[in-house]
Amino acid sequence: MQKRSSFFPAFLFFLFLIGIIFLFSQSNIFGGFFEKMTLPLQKITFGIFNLSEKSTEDKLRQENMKLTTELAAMAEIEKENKALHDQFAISTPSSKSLLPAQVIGRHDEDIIVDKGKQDGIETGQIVVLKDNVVGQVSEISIHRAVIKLLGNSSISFTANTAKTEASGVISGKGEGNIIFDKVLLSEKLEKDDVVITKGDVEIDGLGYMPGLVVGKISSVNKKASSLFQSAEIKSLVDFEKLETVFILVGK
Amino acid sequence: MFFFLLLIIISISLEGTVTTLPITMVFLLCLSLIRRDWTVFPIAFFAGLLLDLLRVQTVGVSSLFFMIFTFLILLYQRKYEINSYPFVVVATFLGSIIYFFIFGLKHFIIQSILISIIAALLFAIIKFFFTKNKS
Repeated sequence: MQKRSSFFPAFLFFLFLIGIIFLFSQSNIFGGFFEKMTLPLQKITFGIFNLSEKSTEDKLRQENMKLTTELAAMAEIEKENKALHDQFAISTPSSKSLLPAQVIGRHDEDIIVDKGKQDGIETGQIVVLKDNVVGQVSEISIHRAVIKLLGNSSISFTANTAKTEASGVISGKGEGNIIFDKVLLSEKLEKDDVVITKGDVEIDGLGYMPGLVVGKISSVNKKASSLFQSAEIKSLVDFEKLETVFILVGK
Repeated sequence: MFFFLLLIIISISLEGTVTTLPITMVFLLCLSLIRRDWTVFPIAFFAGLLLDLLRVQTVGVSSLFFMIFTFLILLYQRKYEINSYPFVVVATFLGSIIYFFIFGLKHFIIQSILISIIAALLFAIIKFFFTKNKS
């Protein structure tokens, strides 16, 4: 049996080392090098555990996502045309560019991608897949970024339905559940109507640009006694099978 | 020792990509039970650093947790018989509860129970191989 004194100095020494690491953790002196070195290991491990054959269901789901996205885009164009006719101001197309990022890790309601600070990623940037909102960048390091998915409880932004133009707030409820809440009772919510972002872009260019697809309404919760009505949203993206996502970079 | 290092690297890769179960903590516990000396600290230290890099966490948080966890295991060997199933299960359960609390992970009770069962199984395998080697 070892005496406490035999391992206590070693414990203190490594504790001291951790203290130093904490002090220099913001400067990323060695972090970037080690992060780059460990990227292939993480990619390989994720690749091994994410080997799934694309089934017919997946193909149909992708096609459905494409068609619904196109439908939402058409509805947006129609609205824009109407606005032009009415001589309303039309905002110039966004200069945002898409940066592809490979998914290399998945935990609870977050995913880890292989792009970081060095690739121009910033906290708060929006992540999409074929015009569908996937989530928002929440943590970054030099070569990696954590993306909180749409169902994450800290997600919240304004949106409206494509067909009935009902406005409300999208919020993640954890466990992947998405709620379209704070919709006035006077507005109309329909099952299978597509919900799109209204646009919550901040002054620094970060945030949700308008016209992105959030998902389809799967059920409506309307009570005459309540002030607002809400709806459950089903995203068109299968978060479990994400391999590549696109980050909206640029201001 | 080499076998354990390999297992720890695999567990770090798994924790960094597909699972939230604290497998590395369990391997470090088993290593502490076998080695029972200061050599577990550098392994706990580097394992934590690597895990933090993979999970995009504040570098050093996991190291600090693993260091304190292994230190407490080594400290308790004077008071209790640590080479036993109840100790392994209880230490893993309590350790994982704290781990889930620190990192804000969900379903912590179910995951803690699951990892305690895994720890007991792993301990049984290690014990079997060690008694076989000794005889």
